[in-house]
Amino acid sequence: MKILVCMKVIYDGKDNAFPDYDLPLRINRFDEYALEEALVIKDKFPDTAIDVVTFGYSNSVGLLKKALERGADSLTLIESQEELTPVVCAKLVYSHFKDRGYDIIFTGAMAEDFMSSSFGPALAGFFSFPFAVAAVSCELVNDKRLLVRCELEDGIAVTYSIKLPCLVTMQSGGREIRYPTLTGKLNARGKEAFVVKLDQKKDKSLSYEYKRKKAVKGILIEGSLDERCEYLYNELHKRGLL
Amino acid sequence: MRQKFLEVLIVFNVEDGQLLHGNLNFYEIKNKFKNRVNLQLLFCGSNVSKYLDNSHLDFYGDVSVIEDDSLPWNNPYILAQNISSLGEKNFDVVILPHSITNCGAAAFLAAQFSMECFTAINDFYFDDETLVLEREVFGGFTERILCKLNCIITWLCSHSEPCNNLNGAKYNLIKKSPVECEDLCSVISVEKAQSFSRLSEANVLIAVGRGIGSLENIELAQELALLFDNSSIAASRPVCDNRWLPYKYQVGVTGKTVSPALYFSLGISGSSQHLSGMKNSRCIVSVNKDRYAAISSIADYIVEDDIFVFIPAFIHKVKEKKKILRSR
Ligand SMILES: Cc1cc2nc3c(=O)[nH]c(=O)nc-3n(C[C@H](O)[C@H](O)[C@H](O)COP(=O)(O)OP(=O)(O)OC[C@H]3O[C@@H](n4cnc5c(N)ncnc54)[C@H](O)[C@@H]3O)c2cc1C
Repeated sequence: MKILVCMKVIYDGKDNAFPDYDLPLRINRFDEYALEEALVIKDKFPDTAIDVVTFGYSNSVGLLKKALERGADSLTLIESQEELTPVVCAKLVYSHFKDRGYDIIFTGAMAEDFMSSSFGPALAGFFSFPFAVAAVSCELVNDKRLLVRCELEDGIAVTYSIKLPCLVTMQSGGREIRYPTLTGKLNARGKEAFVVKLDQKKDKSLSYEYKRKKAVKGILIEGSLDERCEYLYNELHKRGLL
Repeated sequence: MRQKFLEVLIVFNVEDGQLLHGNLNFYEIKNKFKNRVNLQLLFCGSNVSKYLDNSHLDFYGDVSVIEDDSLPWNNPYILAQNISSLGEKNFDVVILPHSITNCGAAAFLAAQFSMECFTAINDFYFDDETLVLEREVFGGFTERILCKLNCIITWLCSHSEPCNNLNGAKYNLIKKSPVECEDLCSVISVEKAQSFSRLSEANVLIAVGRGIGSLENIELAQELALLFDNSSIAASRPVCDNRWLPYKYQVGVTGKTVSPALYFSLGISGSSQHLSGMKNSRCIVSVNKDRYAAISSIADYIVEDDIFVFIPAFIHKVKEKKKILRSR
C-alpha cells in the first residue's frame, strides 16, 4: 500500500495581524489525524509506505520531523514563501506526485488558519480520485476498497465504501494521536526532508485583505474583577436568568 | 461597450422533497450581480419533483433537475459528478449552499473545471468586474478576497424561509443520475445520532471549549451550571475529542443545534462550525482571554479574562447575591 499524507504547518496566533509570521508554528490539528489514519493502516499492513508532503515555509520541516518519528517513511517540503490558494497548492502537489502510484491520499478536513476545506477535495479532483470528506475512521477491505466513516451535519454519520485509489479528508474524533516511540525517534534520525523549491507566484488576479472583526455586537464588560462580576450578575438577573 | 452577461449556476440540494441547507434566493443573487447575469438553476437530490410541484417556481430561465431517489445524496463525489454532467458550459461563477458535502463537491469540481474555489463565504458582491468574497478565518479575522470570476463558492446563506417563487418554470428533468460512478464511491449506511434532549430542553447552557484545559476543570463549569435553573453543560468539538465530555454534549454543525435563553461559553473561540449550532441563542456570554475571539462578534456580553480567574469569582458573587435575596 502506498499512502500520501498532506500536512500543513500553520502560525498559531490570534493577535493583531493576520497572518502573523512572528507567531509560533504548529501542525494543523486535522492533518495529525490524517497521518494517524495512515499509521493505523500501516500497523495492520507493515509493508505500507507513507510519504508526507507539506506545502509551505522552510521552517516547517523541523516540526514535521515528528511525522517521521511517529512512523512516516519520507517527508517532502514543497517550499513556497507565498500563501497560495488551496486549489493552486493542490495542483502543485498533484504535479509533483501524480506518477507515484498512490493507493490512498489522506489530508486534514480543514486548515485551521484559513478555515478552508478545499485542499483535499481539490487534490482528489486533480487526481480524478473518488473521495470522502470529514472522516473519523477508515478501514481497508481486501486491499481494494476503503470503508470510510464520516460525520456530517446534524449528527449524521455516513459510511462510504470507496474503491482505491482514493482520497479521504480526516477530522478529529475517531482516533487518539500517537506519540513517537523511542524506536520511531531513532529511525527518523537519519532521514532528511526532500525540498522542492518553487517560484510559483501568487495569482495576480486574486488579492486579499484582512480585517479584524471588532466585538461588534456585544458589551465588553470592563472594570475590576468584582465590578465585572457584579455587572454580569445584574444583567443576567434583569433578564430573569439568575 | 455592452458588458458581458455573466453565466452563473446555482445548485440546490433536495432530500425527499425538502430543500436542504437554507434557501439561496435567486433574486438576491441577481441583484448582487447587478442583474448582469444569466442564471441557471440545478436541483439535485431525491424526490425533487415533489419539491418543485409544491413550490411556486416563478423563474423563467434554465432549470435542470437531476432526480434519483435511489441515491443517498450526501456523497460529495457523486454530487460533483452529477454537477459536471451538465456539460462543458463555461460558468463564470457556481454557487452552492455551504455544507460539508457541498464544500467537498465544490473543490473537486474546481480542480476538474480549472476554476478557483472558496468555501464558507459569508457575503459577496460584484463590483468593477471583480467578485468580492468575504469569509472568516482564524481568530475572528475577516478575509476579503477580490477575484476575477471563474470560481466556485459555497455560501453560508441565512434564509431558512422559502424565498423563491418557482411558479411556471419549465424544467429539464433527468430522471436518473446520469453518471455511473456508484461503484467507485457508494454509501453503505446513514445513521442519525440519537437525540439527547437535555441540550435542547435546557434553558441555560454552560458551554466549555478547549480553553477549559483539562478534564478536571469541567467541574468548574458544572459548579457554574448549578447556579442556574434548568441548565446543562455543553461543549465544543475538541472538548469531546479530548474525551473530557461525551459527544452527545457537542454543539455545532456536526453536533447539536441549540437556542437556549442563555449560552454561557467558557474558552470557546467561535469557529463557524461551532457558531452555526448556537447562534440563535437568545443571550450569549463569552468568557475568553482574547476579546477579539470570533465568538465576540455574536456575543451579547464579553468578559476578557482567564476562565480560572473570572469564573470562581463570578460563582462566589452569585452565591453571595442569592444568599442576600434569600435572607430578605
Ligand atoms: C468538518 C468539521 C466539522 C466540525 N464540527 C464542529 C462542531 O460541530 N462543533 C464544534 O465546536 N467544532 C466543530 N469543528 C471544529 C472547529 O473547526 C473548531 O476547531 C472548534 O470549534 C474549536 O473549538 P474551541 O473553540 O473549543 O477551541 P479553540 O478554537 O482552540 O479555542 C479556544 C479558545 O479558548 C480561549 N482560551 C484558552 N485558554 C483560556 C483560558 N484559560 N481562559 C479563557 N479563555 C481561554 C482561547 O483564547 C480560544 O479563543 C468542526 C471542524 C470540521 C473540519
